[in-house]
Amino acid sequence: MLTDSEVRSRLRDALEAVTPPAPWLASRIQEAVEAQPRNGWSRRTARGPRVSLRIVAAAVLIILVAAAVATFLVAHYPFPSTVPASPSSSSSSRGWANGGIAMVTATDGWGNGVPFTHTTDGGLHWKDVTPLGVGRHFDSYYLDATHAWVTDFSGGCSLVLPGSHCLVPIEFTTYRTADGGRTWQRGSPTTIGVATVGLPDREFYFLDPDHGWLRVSIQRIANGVPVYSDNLYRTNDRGLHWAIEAVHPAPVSWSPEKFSCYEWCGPMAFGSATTGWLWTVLASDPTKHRVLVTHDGGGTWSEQTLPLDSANMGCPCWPGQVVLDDLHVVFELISLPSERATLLVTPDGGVTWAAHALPGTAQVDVGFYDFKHGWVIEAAQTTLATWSPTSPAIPLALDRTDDGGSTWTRIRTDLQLASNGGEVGSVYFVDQEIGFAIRDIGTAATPVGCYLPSGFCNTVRELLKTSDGGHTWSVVNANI
Amino acid sequence: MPVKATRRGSDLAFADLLEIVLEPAYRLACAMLHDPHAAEDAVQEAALKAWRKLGQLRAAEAARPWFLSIVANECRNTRRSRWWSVLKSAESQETEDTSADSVLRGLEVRRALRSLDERKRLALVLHWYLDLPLEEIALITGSSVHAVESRISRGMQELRRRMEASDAD
Repeated sequence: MLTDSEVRSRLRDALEAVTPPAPWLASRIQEAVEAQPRNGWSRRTARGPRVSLRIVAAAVLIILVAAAVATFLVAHYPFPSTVPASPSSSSSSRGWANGGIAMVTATDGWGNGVPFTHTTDGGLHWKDVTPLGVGRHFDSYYLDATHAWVTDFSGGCSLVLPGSHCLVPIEFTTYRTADGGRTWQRGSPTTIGVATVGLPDREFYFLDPDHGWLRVSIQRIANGVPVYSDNLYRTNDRGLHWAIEAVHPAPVSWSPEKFSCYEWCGPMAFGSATTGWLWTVLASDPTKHRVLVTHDGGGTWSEQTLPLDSANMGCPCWPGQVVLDDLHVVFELISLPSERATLLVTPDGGVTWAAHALPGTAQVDVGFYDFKHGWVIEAAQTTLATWSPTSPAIPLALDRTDDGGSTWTRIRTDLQLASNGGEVGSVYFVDQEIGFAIRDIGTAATPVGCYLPSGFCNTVRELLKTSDGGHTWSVVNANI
Repeated sequence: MPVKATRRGSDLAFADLLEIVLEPAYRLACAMLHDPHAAEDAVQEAALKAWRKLGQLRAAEAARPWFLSIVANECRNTRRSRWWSVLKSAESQETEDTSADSVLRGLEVRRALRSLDERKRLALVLHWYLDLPLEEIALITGSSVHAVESRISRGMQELRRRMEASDAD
């Protein structure tokens, strides 16, 4: 008869054998958290050193703990998922949905997740429109009510032992739909590099149904030495074929502790097939940001002059969404730690810029559905972070602008930002009257079988809608 | 760890929390799901939920059971999802490429563990694999210490029987 000790020993050995180290798991989580900040407020953050040291420390800790196991694990795994990259997460214009749900018209919307879903009845019903053939993990991107892309990544390595390199090329295949996901067209596979360790940092932007860009940061091995670069791919045929447009290589001497991207690390957006902007960091001082502009579709880039001096660009701050209406561009620049946002707007493709202050002392969300019309939610992330269901309710301070951010008007609304009725995770408008909000509600009681503390179990997500510019809200779908 | 800083939501404080809980969380998810990719997904989802609900964390010393309880629930959700059936079919190929006795024995043990009731499996993994005390397991599972003891005891008996049956084969 086996002793307790023998049973335990066998159990530990068996489980250790299926627990490989995940040296990049901490950074993956941190990146996902940054892409979906607390309470669901979606605000894309620039990657920089603000958390990188902690990430590296966590990764090193994991490597050390799992080192013994790693000695006999030499395996190549397909990539798991990452948070899909998005240039303008909170804007209703395009990209990746805030809170997983993006209504792009009063009736049509996308659910970015697994599965990829679509609604045509205002969010009441959602249909799985994931194209056949994609793997378990994919990136999704919507442009409007009918056009969307799903990109399947394969190859590469999620685990590479110290001193060795992954030799499995990474390949992506894009599927596109022009009919709301009813049918999909599969593009040609594109190999973006070999010997990439971990998931490539990447970001898509589609200007229209035909033109799109992919920024991807890769590591290659040349003569046994890793070489890093930020690459820009472009498609002119709806995502079916991609060709490299620009390469921004790191110096050979550049050797990061952990590679995510070199300098092209921030949001990217295009106003036309030729003109676009890219937020970058300086490798020599990652607290500094620069905005680059291209006028040839991404082949060459130069620094965009903005009404902020270079010192201010390293505030510390991070860029918010970029909203484009052809030549009209709105940058949102959030200063830290005050969380106060400033709008930088241009009506002429970047020739002239104006800076607009926003109402309130801190803003958790800013969005525009065209160059003139937008909204802002006044509140601080820190206020929301400390809120709990037993705290006093936080009213929704919603302001709107109809002149591109010069003046703002407070909207009287019956929606509360946080109350014992739930926490609102996102608010956005598709036109001057129609808007949507997502609210999370957790039950107070802990049902049988739930391991979580009170408030976590049976959490449901509601989709709410306003048809009068945000004054009154009603539940469209009580459990999306 | 300064809980106030954490609850105020500084990224660094959250990174501190991750440093403490990530390794046991990942081991727990691997042990429950037997799939490193699914485990990574579960831990990431748990981290996002923890990030959003950080205000509910009342004390720094409660961080580990609090986070592990979220991970355990994510693992449960993962096993219920429709994608899990796809994963399971891929998982069954595990035996094809191996030959060493120790590896085969590991497969049998994991198979035996998978066959246990989920609550027993969770208790066994937390106690015998992650070396957590009974009191903390009770917090994680929302059970009494007595109930945890009982699950571990019964789980161990079942596991032993299956191991012995496997050895006899």
